[in-house]
Amino acid sequence: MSRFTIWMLSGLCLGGIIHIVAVLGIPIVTDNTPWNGIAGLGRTGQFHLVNRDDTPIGGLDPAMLHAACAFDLAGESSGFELNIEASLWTVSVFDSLGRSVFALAGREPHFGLALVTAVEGEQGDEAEKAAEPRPDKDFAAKVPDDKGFIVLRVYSPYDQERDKVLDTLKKARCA
Amino acid sequence: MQLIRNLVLATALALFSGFASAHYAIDYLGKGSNLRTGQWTRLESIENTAGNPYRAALKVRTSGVALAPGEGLIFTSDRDESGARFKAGCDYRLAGPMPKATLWSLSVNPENGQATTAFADRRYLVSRTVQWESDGRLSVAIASDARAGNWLAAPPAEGFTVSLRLYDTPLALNTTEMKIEDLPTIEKGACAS
Repeated sequence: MSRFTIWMLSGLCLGGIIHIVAVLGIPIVTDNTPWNGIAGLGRTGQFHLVNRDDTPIGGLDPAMLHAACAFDLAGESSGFELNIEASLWTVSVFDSLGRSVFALAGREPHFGLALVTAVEGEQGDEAEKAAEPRPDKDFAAKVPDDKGFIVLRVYSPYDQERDKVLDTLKKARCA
Repeated sequence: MQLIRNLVLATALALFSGFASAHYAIDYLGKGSNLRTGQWTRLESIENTAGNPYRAALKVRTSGVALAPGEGLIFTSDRDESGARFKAGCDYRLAGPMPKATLWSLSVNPENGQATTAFADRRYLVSRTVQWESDGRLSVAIASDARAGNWLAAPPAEGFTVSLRLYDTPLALNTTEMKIEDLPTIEKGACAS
């Protein structure tokens, strides 16, 4: 085998290492996470109406109202309740990287969701225990890290109903 | 001299092969297998990134949030029944059955992503407001000028795609059971000369 071939094979091996580092490194080094995008809409812990496609919630359905809320549980479980009188709503909870951890579609006018932190270790165990006695919430979503966000989609075709929904969402908190 | 030449070439090969293959692999392995059913492509959720670093990298790189599986499914189509892409100035007719869902919406998306201000309220149709044929099927005109009955306003001067969103659908539980005949077809009609 010539020396040139050995150099080229070494180059390919180094290329393999660069490939692995690049693929595994992107989620670690990026600032452009979906959580940052949602948090950029306004105060965290508060729902914000979304009506532009240039947010992380791309491909918005023109038939639906969309609202999003970024939260930071900071080691403590939390939750929220919403009263939405609409023909249909969907709620989805994502972790900070935009991976779905909970999603549901419904029509009931009242909805309660507990956000349970799943941080490993003693702090996480305590937080989970704290979240247990909460029979007031209909559902619980386990969030793998402290940060995450909620996307709410509401179908509300009637003007009067729509105004009420918009009013509710403007004031709603998620954590 | 030869040592420097070999070092430069090997480094260039390493950088090119490493980054190019990473870029390609994230794009193609990260997307997974979007399910194609006839003219429609189901936008597969890339929420589940566990065990697939390419998918995790794509998720962060695109920074987008799709419809989660528990909410529903999204299908898109960019071509008519003959396989030709939707063209500005041509009329199309979407016809056939609609999959079972608590609510579905059909929308037209201009290729450049900018919504036209004309006929903004006719960019979409919703299952609760459409008129059904007597045989329980749906027929929708997709055209840039107004039509009677179910009508979706197509952009007058550019290509477009059609999205079908199914909310609260039992199909989300088992999309592999989806058949071509479960979805409507889109046929090309007359084109402006």
